[in-house]
Parts: sequence; structure tokens; C-alpha cells
Amino acid sequence: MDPARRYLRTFAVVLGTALLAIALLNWAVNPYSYYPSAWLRPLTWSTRPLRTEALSGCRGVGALIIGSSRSMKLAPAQLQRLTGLRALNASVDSAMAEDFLALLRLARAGCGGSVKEVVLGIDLEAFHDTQGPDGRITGAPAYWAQLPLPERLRSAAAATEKLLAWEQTVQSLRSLRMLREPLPTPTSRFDDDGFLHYVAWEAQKADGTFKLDTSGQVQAYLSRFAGFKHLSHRRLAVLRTFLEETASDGVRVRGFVTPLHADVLAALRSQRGFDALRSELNAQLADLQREFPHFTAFDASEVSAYGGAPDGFWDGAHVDDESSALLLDGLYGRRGDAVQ
Amino acid sequence: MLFNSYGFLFVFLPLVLGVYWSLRPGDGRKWVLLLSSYVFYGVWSWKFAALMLATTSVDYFTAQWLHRSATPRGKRGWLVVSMVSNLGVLAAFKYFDFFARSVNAVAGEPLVGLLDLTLPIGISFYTFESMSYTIDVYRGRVQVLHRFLDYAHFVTMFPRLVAGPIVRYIDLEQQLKDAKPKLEAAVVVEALQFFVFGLLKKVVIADPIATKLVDPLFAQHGELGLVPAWTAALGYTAQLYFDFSGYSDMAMGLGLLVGLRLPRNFNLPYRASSISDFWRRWHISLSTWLRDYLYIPLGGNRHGTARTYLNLFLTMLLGGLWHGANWTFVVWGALHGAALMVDHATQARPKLPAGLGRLLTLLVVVVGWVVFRAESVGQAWTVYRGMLGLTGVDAAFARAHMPMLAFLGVALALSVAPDTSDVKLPVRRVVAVLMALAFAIAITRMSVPSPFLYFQF
Repeated sequence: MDPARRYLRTFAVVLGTALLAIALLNWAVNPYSYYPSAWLRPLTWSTRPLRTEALSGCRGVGALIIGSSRSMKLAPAQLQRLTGLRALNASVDSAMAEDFLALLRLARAGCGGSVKEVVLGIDLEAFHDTQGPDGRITGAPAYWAQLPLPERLRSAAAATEKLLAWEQTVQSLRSLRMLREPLPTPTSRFDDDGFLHYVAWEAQKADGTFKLDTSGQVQAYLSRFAGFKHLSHRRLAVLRTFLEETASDGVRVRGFVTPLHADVLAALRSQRGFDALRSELNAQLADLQREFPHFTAFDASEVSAYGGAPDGFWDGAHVDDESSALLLDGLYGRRGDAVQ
Repeated sequence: MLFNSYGFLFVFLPLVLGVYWSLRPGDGRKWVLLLSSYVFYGVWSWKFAALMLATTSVDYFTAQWLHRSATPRGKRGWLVVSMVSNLGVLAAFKYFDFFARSVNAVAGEPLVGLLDLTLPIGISFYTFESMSYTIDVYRGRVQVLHRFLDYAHFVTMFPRLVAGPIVRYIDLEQQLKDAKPKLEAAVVVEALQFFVFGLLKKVVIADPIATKLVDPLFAQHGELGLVPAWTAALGYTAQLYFDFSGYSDMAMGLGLLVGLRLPRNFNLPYRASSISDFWRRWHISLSTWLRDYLYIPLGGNRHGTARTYLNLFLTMLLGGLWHGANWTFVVWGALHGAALMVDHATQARPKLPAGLGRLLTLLVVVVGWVVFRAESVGQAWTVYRGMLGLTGVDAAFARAHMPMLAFLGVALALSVAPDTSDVKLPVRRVVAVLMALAFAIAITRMSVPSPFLYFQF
């Protein structure tokens, strides 16, 4: 056989085998819970299956907190005091606009129409125009089923792409290495009402050894905003559907743009377009407020908007308990809805 | 669509190549290439694909009319129409807001309104290709293409549509006429080497340097010490080379897969012995375009020393502006223009030892990349202050980032090692196995979308 043909045949066989082996490894180990397969224990905690379960039996819950991990510190107990309604925090990691809708629909099905108030934590990057849906959505089939068909297809495609992802492959191998070891101590946990505890950080704060470090989130947010040039029309349409469905159910929605530490904001501002994106989001939210009287929005990107302390964070992106309390107070009239 | 995306690699490319090579040479293949290129481009924006169709049509028709004009004046008139339309599109989409902001800043009030247009990806590349075609038709260097399909499939072909190499019709004219009936295995082997090496350069070298070192350092608010400032400068030096030359390698590989040998765009630029030499090695297709369609028409070196210097400076200044509408690119162009003037002025003098010449050239290049990468001239100045040691050393940075600094050292060493075009690997099974494994690793690294740096230009 011609040496070039032999070369190409060998190349194709080795490449195909290597890619298939990587995909099978990641499917079987499933370290990030992207897939329904559960042959091995997951390496990371996946909030979507947890929230799906919590919302499947939420009858009697009247107030819901929806958002990303940046809204997980909003306390349902405080919301209950402010509204008089039983509250639940149903925020999921890295929530995009489609996650808002999935969570709302799960609540509509599971709470039997008892929800009357929604607090919606809106991350600017929830409207990323080039980043697809979170691949972890497909790991929770009941959650995935709540999405509109195009989003379902996109999330399935995202999870399929992740079958070959470097990061997941590394974590799969790590998972295999850790099979014989005891599970590491979790660094965070949820209360029954969905309120998040950062176990390690809270312990450090209690004994006075906690030191705020924003550098990790500076890097994370720079990469999260990479390629983000305009708000996604598709995701804005999903938010509109969210508001239409809440309007038809008579649910009041209080939205806020989630805060970031000044270090992260400064880093993002050093990239072209961040302020323009923020203005674009605020303009869109203002339009939606005019169109949907049951919806108000409040730009809390900067701590000064709700009177928080500059360092009132656990890291560069997640506000501490005191700041969360101020934010909720702000949403319920202490500082008024007038802040735009 | 990105070359380094699963959709391109596993769906678009196999489909296009399968259909392309199943057809005989001729119009069928040209249609496949044309339509697939519009799909490739339209994935970003169908509006911009429509703009590309419009500019392609204008240049096709002006070239026709230019060719048919009986008088030199008529020919010149159609050439002007082509130039005005191409440069007009560039001016509107790329430069108008820069001009308006600059005027408003000087006036202290918003005198000129902004257009706020999104820059169509690759517009600077395909506009320059279009312009070179009409200019070459005007100069009688190429024959006019009478059929729209022949012209449109040349201008839009996806392997080098959005970030070059800037191919002139004259470069491909003969290859397009002598289309191969079938794809030979030996050519596929060569194409794979280009594509895999290019992808490795991008996702294994450039991207980690960008995300772990360059982007965080340039995003840092405030002063940078000596060590982090030099890390930022050298990191971007390596990142830009591996990103852009990686893209060019992939484009060359893809070109081979559709039967075309695209011109080499890089030739070990960081080994250059002078700035003139650097521009013979870096982004060769742009530097030769600027030489042939700007520097020489301006008068080149034909009108005395002072005019030569002025032409060199203007060419580099406009070359800087070609990269983007920002004062940073103006400063970068001016720096290279000044360096070229000094280089020409000292050519008659005894040459520096080769090593010293290379080091000085690299220093100028690295200093230039800082302002090229910076968001503003002010930010570049912050990095320069750090590089000069005016803000302390910050040796702790080196201790905290030792593995990445070692990686950067290896990358910089590789940037002066023989390049993809210079490496001829033996066609043996063991090489095929190693290349396949390297490709598999590169494919796993593609999971984070990462556009090529030159897409923004």
C-alpha cells in the first residue's frame, strides 16, 4: 500500500479510538453530572437535580428565589419575614436565562399555584450571546424537559461536546483516582429551604481567620465574559416568556442585577464593551418593566446601589450574608424599587 | 464558525470536502466552495454575509466596467469607484466612530454622532483582497473574471476568509485554472500536518498563555511590577505569534484540502535581524500587500531619502490603523514606522553582530506588542512603567507563577524553532500515531470557545 494511504489509515484509526475512549470515559465517570449516567459518584455537586427534587414537592411555597450561585445567599427566612409567605431558594449554578424559565416551570408544576412572589437574581452574563446552555442541564432530565425545544437541543449539544472536553477528562481521571479514598469534606451545603452555607469560609469568619481573595473570580469572570459582545436576543426572548408566564399566574417578580466585587468589575471594565453590555441590559429591563407591570428591576451591580460594604463578599462574586440581607431589604422597599 | 470548534471539524468540514471532491473540477466545485463559505461566514451573522455579497458584487461589476472602458480616464474612474466603495465600507464600519469619538474628545462635547455599528468579522481581510483584484485588473496584471461565480468563490473561500492570509487573485490564478481531479493521499498528509500543528499552536500554547498570564495581567487594575510587566509583554509576544501563525497554518492545511496551496504567512519572525527583516517574516501577506499597493504607489524609495522615510512611516501608520480603530494601533504603527526609518538610515553603517541585531529587533517588537494589546495608550504606559522597573520588581509574582513562566519560556523558545512549513515529517506509521494522539489532545482542548486574535481586525 502507498505509504501516504497507510499513514492516513493509521491516523484515522488511532484518532477515532482515542476520541471514542475519551468520550466513553467521560460518559461513564460523569464527573460534572452532565449525563444521566450514574455509574460512579459525581466529583462535584450538581444543583439542578437538587432543585428539581426540592421543587417537585413545594406545595405551599409562596415566595421563590431564582438565580445563579450569586443569589444563593439570599435567605428564604428573611424573604418569609418580608412577604409573610413560605419561601424557598431555588437558585442553580451559573444560571442563564433558560434556567430561570426551567425553575419557574418546575415550581408551577410542583407548588400547585401557591407561588405569588419571585425574587429574580439576574447575572449580566445570563444573556451571553455566544455561550450555549449549561451542559449540566441534561444531567437532570426532568429539569431539561422544562426548557423550550431549541434550548433542549442546545443543552444536549453542549453536553455532547463536553464528552471530549479536556477539563472533564482530567476530572474523570481524578474521579477514578479518588475511588478508593473517602469523600472529601464538602466546602458548602444547603439548608432545607435552599439557603447556601459556605462551610469552610463561615468557620474561618467565625474564628476571625477569613481573608477575602477576589483574584480567582477576576480570572473566572474574564473568561466567562470572553466573546460576550451583545445581549442574546434568544435569551431575552426566554426572559420575556418567563414574565408572560408569571403574569398569567399573577406572580409578582422583583428582579435585581447581581453585584460583583469592585476588583472584578474593574477587570471587566478593562475589557472593551462591559459598560455597554450593562447599559444594554438595564435598557432592556427598563423596557420590560414598562411592558409588564408585575415586574420591577433594580441594578445592584455595584455595592453602593444597596448600601453594601465594598468587601461584603465571600470572594469576587458571591455576596456575604449581611450584604444579601441588605439586597433583599432593598428589593422590598427599604431602598425602594426606584433604583434603576 | 471557528476552525477550532466541533461543529466545524466534525460536521462542516467533512460534509464540504465530501461533496467537493465527489464532483469533477469545474463549476460544481466552485458552487460548493462559494455556498459553504457563505454558510461558514453566515454562522456569525447573515447580515454581514449579505454585506460581503454586496461588496463582492460591486468589485465584480466595477472590474468588468473597468476592463471594458476604452479610455485611461474611464478605467481610472471605475478604479476609484471600487476603492471608494471598499474604503467607504471600512470607514463606516471600522473608523467612523473612532473619528467621531476623537473629534468629540477634542471638542469636549458630542459634536459628531456615533454610528455604533458592529464590525463585521474579517472585513479588513476580504476588503483588501477585493481591492488588490481591481487594482491588478487596472494595472493589467490579471485578466478580468467574466463570470461572477469565478470571482465570488475566490474572494469568499472559507479557509482564509476571516483572518487571511490575504491572498491576491494573481497568487491563485493558475491553481484555480489547474484544478486537481482528485485529492491525493500525500497532500492530505501534508494538510493534516499543517492543520494539527496550527491547532496545537492555538489551543495548547496560545490559549493557556492568554488565560493564565496575559489576560489577567492586562486586566489588572493598577501598577505592574517589573516581573509581571515583562511577563505580560513576553506572554503576549508568544500568544500572538502562536495564535496567528496557528490560524495561518490551519488555513494552509484547509487550503490544501480544497486543492489550493496558500502562500506562507510567517517565516520565523522572532528570528529577524532587523525591523525590515521582521516585516519580511511577520504577516507576510499583509506586509507585501502594503508594500505593493501603498508604499510603492506613494513613491517608495524613488523620490529621495526624505520622501522614502515619509512613505515608510505613512505605510506603517496606515498598517497600524488597518488593525483597528484605536490610538493604540496608531502608536504601534508609528513605532514600527519610526523603527523602519532608523533601520533604513543605518543600513549603510557596519552591521551589528547578528545576535545583538536580533535581540534589539525583538525588543522593539515586544515593546510594540504592549501597546498593540493594550486597551488604551494609558494602559500601555502602565505596563511600560512596570517594564522599566519604575513600580518595583514584584519577584513574588515569579514564585507564585513558576510553572506558567516555565511554560512561557518553552513557548518563546519554540517561537524561534523551525516552523510548520519548515518541518517535513517522515510519512511513517509511528508519526501517524503521534500526530493522531496530538490531534486528539488538541480536540479535547477545543471545548472552550476561543476566537483567534486576528478575527477582531
